[in-house]
Parts: sequence; C-alpha cells; structure tokens
Amino acid sequence: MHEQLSVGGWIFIATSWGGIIALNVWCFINIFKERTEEIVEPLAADEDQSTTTGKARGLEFRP
Amino acid sequence: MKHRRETWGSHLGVILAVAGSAVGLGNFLRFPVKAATYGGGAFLIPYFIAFVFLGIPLAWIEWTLGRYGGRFSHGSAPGILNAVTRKPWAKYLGSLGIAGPLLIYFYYVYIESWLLGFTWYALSGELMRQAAQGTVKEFFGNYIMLNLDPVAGMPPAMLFFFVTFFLNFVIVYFGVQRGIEAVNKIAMPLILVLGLVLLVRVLTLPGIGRGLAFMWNPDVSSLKRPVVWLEAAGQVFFTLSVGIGTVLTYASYVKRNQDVALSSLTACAANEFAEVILGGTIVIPMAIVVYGAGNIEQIAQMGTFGLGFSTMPLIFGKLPLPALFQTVWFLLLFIAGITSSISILQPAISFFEDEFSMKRHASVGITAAVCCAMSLVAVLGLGAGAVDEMDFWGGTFSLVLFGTIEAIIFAWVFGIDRGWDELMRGAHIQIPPVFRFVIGWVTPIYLIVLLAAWLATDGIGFIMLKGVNPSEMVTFAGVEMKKARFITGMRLLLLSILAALNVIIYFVWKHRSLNAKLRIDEEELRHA
Repeated sequence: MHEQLSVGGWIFIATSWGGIIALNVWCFINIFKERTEEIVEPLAADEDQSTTTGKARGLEFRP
Repeated sequence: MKHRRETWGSHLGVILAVAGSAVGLGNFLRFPVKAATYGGGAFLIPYFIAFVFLGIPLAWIEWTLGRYGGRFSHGSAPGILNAVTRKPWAKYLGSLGIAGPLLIYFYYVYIESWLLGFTWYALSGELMRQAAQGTVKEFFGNYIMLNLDPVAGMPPAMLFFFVTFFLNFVIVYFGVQRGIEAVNKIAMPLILVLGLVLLVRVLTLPGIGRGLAFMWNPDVSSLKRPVVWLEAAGQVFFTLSVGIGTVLTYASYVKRNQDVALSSLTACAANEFAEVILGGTIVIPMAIVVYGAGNIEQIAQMGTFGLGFSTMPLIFGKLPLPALFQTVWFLLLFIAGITSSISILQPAISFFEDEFSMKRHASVGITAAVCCAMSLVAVLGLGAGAVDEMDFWGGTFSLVLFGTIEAIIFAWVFGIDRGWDELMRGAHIQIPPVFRFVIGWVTPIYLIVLLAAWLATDGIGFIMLKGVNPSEMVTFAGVEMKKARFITGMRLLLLSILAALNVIIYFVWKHRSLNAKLRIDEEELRHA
C-alpha cells in the first residue's frame, strides 16, 4: 500500500509544500519591501485614552 | 520614575523572535507522529482548516492585545488584560499568562539540557558507540534519571542542566533587543540551514519514496473520525505558541503604529515551513526507510522523546557520517529549544520590570531563583511524575484555557469593532473582511469546543488520577512515597504558586491606586 507515493500523496505534498512556500515568499517580500512612513489616523481606542486621563483614570481605572 | 520600556530593534527581529518561540521540538517530533498516526496526507485537511480558523486568528488576537498593552507600559497578561477590558477581574485571569509559561519553563529547560548533552555525546562519538552496541535507549534512560557516572562531581544530566539554565538567563539578562532579538537573528537562520541539511540527506536516501508514501499518502477515511479533527486542532494550537502569554509579551515591545497583521502571519508561515516541510519529511520517512513500515507502530509508540533521543541516533548510526548527522540533529533541536525557552521566561521578567519598575538584574534574579528551585523539582522528580504534572497544568490545561479567555475577551469584551481597528492599525496587509467574523465568532467557539472536547477525552481523566495505581510507590529526592500522594503534593505546590502570583497582582494594583489618589490630592492642594 505504501510502496510508492500515490497520486493523492503527490497532490498533498505539492499543495501543502507549494502553499507554505508561497505564503512564506509573499510574507517576506512584503516585510522587506521599502515603505514610506505612513500616517495613521487616530482610532476609537485613542479617543478613549484621552478621555480617561485625570482624576477618573487615576481613581477608577489605572490601565 | 517610570522606566523606559525597550522596543524591538527591527521589524524582522520581532518576527524571528516569535517564530523562534513557536519552532521547537513539537515541529520536528510531535507533528510527524500525529500526521502518520491520523491519516497521513489527509491529516493536513483538518490541520490547515484549524490553521486558518484557529491558529492565524488567535495569533492576530495575541499580537494585537500585546501591542495595545505595551502602549500602557504593560508587557504581561495581567496588565494587558486589565488595560484591554478595564475590568478589575481581568488582571487575575491574566495570572495564567505568567504562571503558565513559568510552569512550562520549569521542565522544558531540563529537556532542553538533554539536547545539549546529546549534542556533546554526538560530537564526542559516545552516541555513535552506543548506537553501534544498540544501547542508546538504555543510555538515554540512565542519562535522564541521573544514573550515569558523575562528571565534575555531579551526574552529567545535572551538569548540562545548569549550563543550559545559565545560558538561558544570560540571554534574557541582555534584554529584548540585545539578548532575545540578537540570539534569534542568528538562531533562526541556523535552524533553517541545519534543517535543510537534514532534508537533503533524507531526500537523497535510496528508497525514500516508501517513507514519503507512508507519511503523505492520504487515508481519506480517517477524516470521518472526530479524534483526527481534534488532534489536528490541538497540534495547530500547540505549534504556534498561542495561549501561553509569550506572544502577548513579545508584541508589547512593538511600537504603537508598527504592523502586527503581516508580522504575525509571517511568524506563523515560518513555523509551518519548519513543521510541515522539515518536520514532516525528516523523522518518519527516515524511520520507514531504515526500519521498514512494519515497525512504524512500535516507533510511534515510543513517543516524542523515544523517537527523538533513542530512535534517531540509531537511524543516523546506520547511515554514512553518523556522528556528523547526529550532531546536526541534536544541535538543531537544541537551538530550537533555546529560542522557545527564552521566550517563556520573558512574561515573568516583563511583569517584574513593568509592574514593579524593577531593574533588569533584579527581575532576572527573582525569576531565576524561582525557576531554579522549581526546575530542580522537575529534575529530581522526573521518575515520580513531576514533569507530567507540570506539562499537564502548564503546557496543556493553562494554554487551552488562556487561549480561550484571550479570544473571548478580544471578541466579546474589548469588542470586535475596536479589536479589528486595533489589528489594522499600521497594517502592511489588508486582511479579508471575512476574518472579522472569524475572529468575532468562529475562533472563540472553536476554542470553547476544543477545550470542552479535550477535557472530556483526556483532561478529566488526568485530573481525577485515572490510571494511577493507588498502591504505586515513587521516589523523590531519596524519599519513597505513594505516587498519588506525590501528585497531590505537586498540585498543591503549583496551586500555591498561582495563588501567590494573584496575591502579588492584588497588592501591585492596590499600591498603584493609592499612589494615583495621593497624586490627585497633591494636585488639588496645589490648586487650592
């Protein structure tokens, strides 16, 4: 039964190896791609942070 | 004065560190045994489904929560979960994110030291002699049970344990950038090179087609068995180092607007390369070529350590240049072990530094003292079952439970909308919007089901001491006692560590609230 790789075995090797190698190549290309400094818009979390400063933040919640 | 927190030196540095944390013994030994046992190539279907719907989303969750906590100068789970939820109870749940990795470290460092010891024995030719005599299994047993002749006044396993322990703490003493990042920048490429050397060796063996066929020919009927899906999900969970607390801590050193979406995906991808391509090709196919498919069940039953420490040296012993390939094998695993062990130390060190404003030498010193005492319990209590207890509570139970807690907090307490915005802050990739639903619902429910299924199949039995003979006796540090009593004592000890940690967390936050109140009173007096 396990004397040689079956067609199914080849398919599983090719798709899994191919998929993982492609994902790695794509990820590392994007990592090494040169990027200009991006301006990031403030998020809701930032707004929250600015409203919890002062007394309330000190007494009720100290993150 | 508040100390200034470190950050990673480079984008690549943090990715390699997280990948280094994930790549370990499990990639090279646990994965191939699971895959060969549960359907060969077909195992990859539930495995990749779990990778996409459980592994990657949970990694994104941890990176996002960690970076968010880092903004508030928190690098460990209690502070991070407190900052995220703004609920007082959350910090106590976060204690699992410190106790869990510490529990793993207590025994992991001993296993890591076996790899250093066996690298030495491979280099010196001793392992080749044992392989030629067919006594590797006995040699390994005597080594880990401290029964070999003393070197420098102590058993060799103890000597290598202290060397490994010292090496780990020297690395973390140098900090995130000069210690952990610098080591991973060397170690990860080295793991790749050593892994590729072994891969080429395996793929050029005569008759390797039989080995690959055993490993990869799919048994599609296995997909009907629920246990295959459960094992695949468990493997994905364990291999990515999620649910431990280390990724949270590593991500807390990421700058506020630095990408986490692509970084996390890259670390996961690198881990999969080590697991599926290297791990899936080296051990089992090689064992099949040398021993034949008829003996594979016995080989698989030897377990992870039996396979890694006893079978692999024998297999290499039957090939040309045995000492060279034995050395490459154990060195590869030792380096993979170091990158993992330093990562599980960092949550505790970060806790002391961030929450107590301790200097590095103090935080490292306290962590080292606790780890040394408890690791010696693991070393001396190996035969009594100490390592099994630590592995169950730290390496399995705490991990699955804490991962579930993180997913629920991120999706249902922090809120998927805020969480998604936070994940996409500074992101270098556009994550498909379907993952918003996946992270919000699929991953938490997947984890709850996994936790429940695991408790039902394995967890409850272990907790209730099923399989422990009431009259079985064990010896710990020269004292003979009943095994059930020893296990109960171990559990009380581990529970007391968790309780002590929670008491510390309580007093840290109480102290902070008092300080904040004093500052406000002073300000009001000044204004008056």
